[in-house]
Amino acid sequence: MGPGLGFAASQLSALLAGGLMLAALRWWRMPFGLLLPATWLLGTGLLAAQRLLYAQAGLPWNTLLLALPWIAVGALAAWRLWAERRANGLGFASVPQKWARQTRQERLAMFIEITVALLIAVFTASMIKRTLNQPLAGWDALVMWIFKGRVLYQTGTLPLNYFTDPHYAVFAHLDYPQLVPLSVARIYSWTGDQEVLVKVWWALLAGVACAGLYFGLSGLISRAVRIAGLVMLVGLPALMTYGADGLVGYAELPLAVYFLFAAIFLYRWQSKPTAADFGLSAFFFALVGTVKNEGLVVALAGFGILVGLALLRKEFARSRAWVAAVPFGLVLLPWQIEKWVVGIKGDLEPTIGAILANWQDRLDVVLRNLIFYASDISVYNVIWLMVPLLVVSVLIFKPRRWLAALPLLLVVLAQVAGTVAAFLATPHDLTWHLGTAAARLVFQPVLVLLLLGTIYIGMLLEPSTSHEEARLDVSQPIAEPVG
Amino acid sequence: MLVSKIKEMGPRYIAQVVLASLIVVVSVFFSLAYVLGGFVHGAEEQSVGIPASSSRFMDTPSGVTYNSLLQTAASVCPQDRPFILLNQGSAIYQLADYYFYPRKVVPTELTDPFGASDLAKAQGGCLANFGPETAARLDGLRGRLQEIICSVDGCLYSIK
Repeated sequence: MGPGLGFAASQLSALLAGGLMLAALRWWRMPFGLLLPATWLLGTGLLAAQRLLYAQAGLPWNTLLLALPWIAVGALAAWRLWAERRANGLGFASVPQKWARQTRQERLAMFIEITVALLIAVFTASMIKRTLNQPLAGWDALVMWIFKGRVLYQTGTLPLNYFTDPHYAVFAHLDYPQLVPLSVARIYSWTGDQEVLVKVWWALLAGVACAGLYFGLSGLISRAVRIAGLVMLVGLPALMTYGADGLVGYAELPLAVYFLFAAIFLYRWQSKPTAADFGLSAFFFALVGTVKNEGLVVALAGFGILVGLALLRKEFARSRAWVAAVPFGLVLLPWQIEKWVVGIKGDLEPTIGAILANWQDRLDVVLRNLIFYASDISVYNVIWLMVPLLVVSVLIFKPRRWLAALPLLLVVLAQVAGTVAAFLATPHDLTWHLGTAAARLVFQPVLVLLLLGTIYIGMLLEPSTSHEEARLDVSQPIAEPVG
Repeated sequence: MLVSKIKEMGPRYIAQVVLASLIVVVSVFFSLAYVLGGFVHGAEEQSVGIPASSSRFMDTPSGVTYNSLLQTAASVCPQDRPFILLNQGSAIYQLADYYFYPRKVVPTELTDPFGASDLAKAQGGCLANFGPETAARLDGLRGRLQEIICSVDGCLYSIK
């Protein structure tokens, strides 16, 4: 199998794993444009988590052993689909009939959705072409992320002698979570060591972000506003940098995309509570915590908000509890436990003491630097600038609707607070640390900020309705169908 | 229809629509400017296939990159012989580790002793230097070195 085909097979295997899991859990009822990227992202994360658990259990990453649990999941999925088909019918056979029954307006809507999907595919293809025409050049990509992927691929496990070696600890951030290295190793297992080809994974992540933003808000925000949000994302210089150019191979884009999908499903669950949206949000928040240490703050905040809202709504039944516990326990915790047991330490472990000791001296410098990078229109468009304005505007004009997006705002604030805390407590020279990391840290929440901005603009453009007044209580589902 | 709806909703709604529209117009303007700018200036159009590694991108305007040099070293230098990296305080050894794993590259800095006896011990292996002052350390020793490849930052030699 050639490397190109191997890469395609590696991604199809992720799609298959995610698809089997969603079918087994019956979590697949959502717009197809959202289902496809969510399935791929979930599969990618689960396959990485599986490899980590195998390595910790001393099991080799051979095809048979790796396939075994998926055969079981596949059998469960087949049974669930068969049972559902018997009960309700899946509806595949009736697609032509549905098409015939559609009004002209509905057909036009479908035509627009298909056109947008094609445009996203073309954009992704152009990102792939662009990234393949450049070398892997980012410093952190080489000495940290792809390096670890190469080590995992060559050794076929997470070798303790590497992760506890002080020589590599100086620069390779051995404490960082493993989703990216494990995904690189998995791709290499199909393609061989192909450091340029593996960059396509980042281009796919950029495409997936576009699909998530547009189709994730389907039925919740008007189509025109979603298209505007999509144009902003496609034309975001930072997305090109992280998805195709110099910062491909860094963990910022994977983190930002998992964060985006966690937020999308959180908002969908806020709007119309279903087990699938709750569960997928929990899974994606857990996966954010498996990309980088900064993601741990987002993951914990996301879990806290999900569980808190479920309790508030009196929806935290046993089924919800395990849906929250499984990703937390099997996806997020294993690497954290291994780090603790083996004694893998990072260079940056913020403590309350360090934050309190430094905040008066450093807070001003840290905030000025973060604002400087975030307000760079040539990198982030006006995303960072427009969200505070929109937060205030929606609070003034639509205070009750503002509450619907509050959980998303809170997770973004948690990420920002975590970033500020890290800089306040850093043991490194603050100027050096800000200079090397601040620009990337302000990218991490930018996709969620764009999602939030799109939602807020949608809210402002919606005419107020009388039943809006009934939506004061955040503990109640906020159904928001858009015609 | 929209106009009548706006009239119906009153000035508060008009303010909302104006604000939201303004933000959309500004951000879409910057997005389109970036996208169209990319089309006008042409982006990264090289006619290459899918290269396996960055070594295929060796022909940069400034010459061979040090990445390519290290990658060449990883493929041509014998694994069982020493590899000496003369360094000038840079983090380039980290990049060497990426290409050389599982072998670790411990750099010889300007303050570390280095001479003919080190070359004698490393016979059959390779030496690379990185940094402007490192080349001078090879004066008088070049007879024992055979150049393999050079970048703007330093060269790779086999040790005779």
